[in-house]
Amino acid sequence: MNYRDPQLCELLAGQYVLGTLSARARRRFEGLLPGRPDLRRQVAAWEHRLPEVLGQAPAEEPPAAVWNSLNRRLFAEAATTPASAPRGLFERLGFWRGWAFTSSLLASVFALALLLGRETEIPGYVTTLASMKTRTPMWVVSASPEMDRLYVRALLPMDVPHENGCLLWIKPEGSDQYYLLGSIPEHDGADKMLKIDRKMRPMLKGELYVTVEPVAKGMPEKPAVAPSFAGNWVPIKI
Amino acid sequence: MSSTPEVLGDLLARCALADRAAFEKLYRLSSPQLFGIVLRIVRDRDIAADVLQETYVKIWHRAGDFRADLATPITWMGSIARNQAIDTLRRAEHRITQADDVDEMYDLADDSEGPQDAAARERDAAALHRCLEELQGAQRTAVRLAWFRGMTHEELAEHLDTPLGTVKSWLRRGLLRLKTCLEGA
Repeated sequence: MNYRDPQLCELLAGQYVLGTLSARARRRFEGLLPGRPDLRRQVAAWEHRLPEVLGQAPAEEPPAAVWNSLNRRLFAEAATTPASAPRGLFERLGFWRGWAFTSSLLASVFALALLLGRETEIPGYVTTLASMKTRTPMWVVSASPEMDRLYVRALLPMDVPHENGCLLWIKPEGSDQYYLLGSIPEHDGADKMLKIDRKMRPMLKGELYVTVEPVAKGMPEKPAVAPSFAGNWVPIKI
Repeated sequence: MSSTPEVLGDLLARCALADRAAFEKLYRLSSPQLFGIVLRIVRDRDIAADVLQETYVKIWHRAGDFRADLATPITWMGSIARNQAIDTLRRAEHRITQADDVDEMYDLADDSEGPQDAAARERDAAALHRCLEELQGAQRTAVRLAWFRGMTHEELAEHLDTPLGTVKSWLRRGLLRLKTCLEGA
């Protein structure tokens, strides 16, 4: 089969989305997708158009038991074993993205550990703050085990408009409120230490967010814009 | 919280960072739509529940693959759900073999506004409907059966009591015609 024939590719993409390819043909087609951006675009176009033209099934509330067993299965599994490897692991874009992400995270952790080693211990928690749209990691943040200091290092340059700054916020677990931790550097390679007030320390377990917003009139109490970057702490055990 | 593409896209991005709270929100917002898709194909609530669970396991593991520039979140998740439902159906052979009224099936399709851009949907609706009507009766039936029941070429041939080659040809021509029409819509 000539997978460079444009009409054949278009048909395969359409039939793939329509669901008429046999299991074998579908697997073969899926095997082509990671290396063929043109096919991925064609599939995306069909995925966008077919539900519009043919209609979608009406929404239906699933049984409550589904979430309970999903939660048990997924997170119990995650706690004891690594995520199961999907078929064709090395052909999957997500695998390489994850590999690159993990590698850069670990490299940054050890770089920071070396840096901090002169004056303090190995960090207790670490995270990367990544773009919520592109998932590009922009900062690595580590926290001392007592959560009394955070160290932030910018990984990539940021194009921040004049009079704006990058502000780091914490949204504590179970809370809908954001608390400002401080401004963080925008230039790649730049480091900054943020001292955490004693009463803030117990609240530091939660989701970290970064907003890019005006700071010329002083630090805001709550975000003026939607966060653009996010991260979750990973405990470090060495 | 509403299930706009922006909200679902942000939740998927946070799932890619292993954010469990985001995953739960994503499930709450999107599962009725995905369950509807799955149920329409497998037509058994217990099996559909199992398929939905498998679907969200895949969504959790593959959240990093989502590309906002290629598809809306619900389209991306819906295609995972469809493929999972079709695979399950073909493995277990839980097909309901009696003849269906495909027009009734089409009428039951949800025409209410989904998370897709409502304005764009309204603007395109007439043009899209015209594209579907442009297909010949048999082409339209085959395309609808494949979409709503997840039938393969062979199953369509059996269901429509038509030679396999003819069914393949209907679908090929139907898809190409749809594409041509949609590009001009």
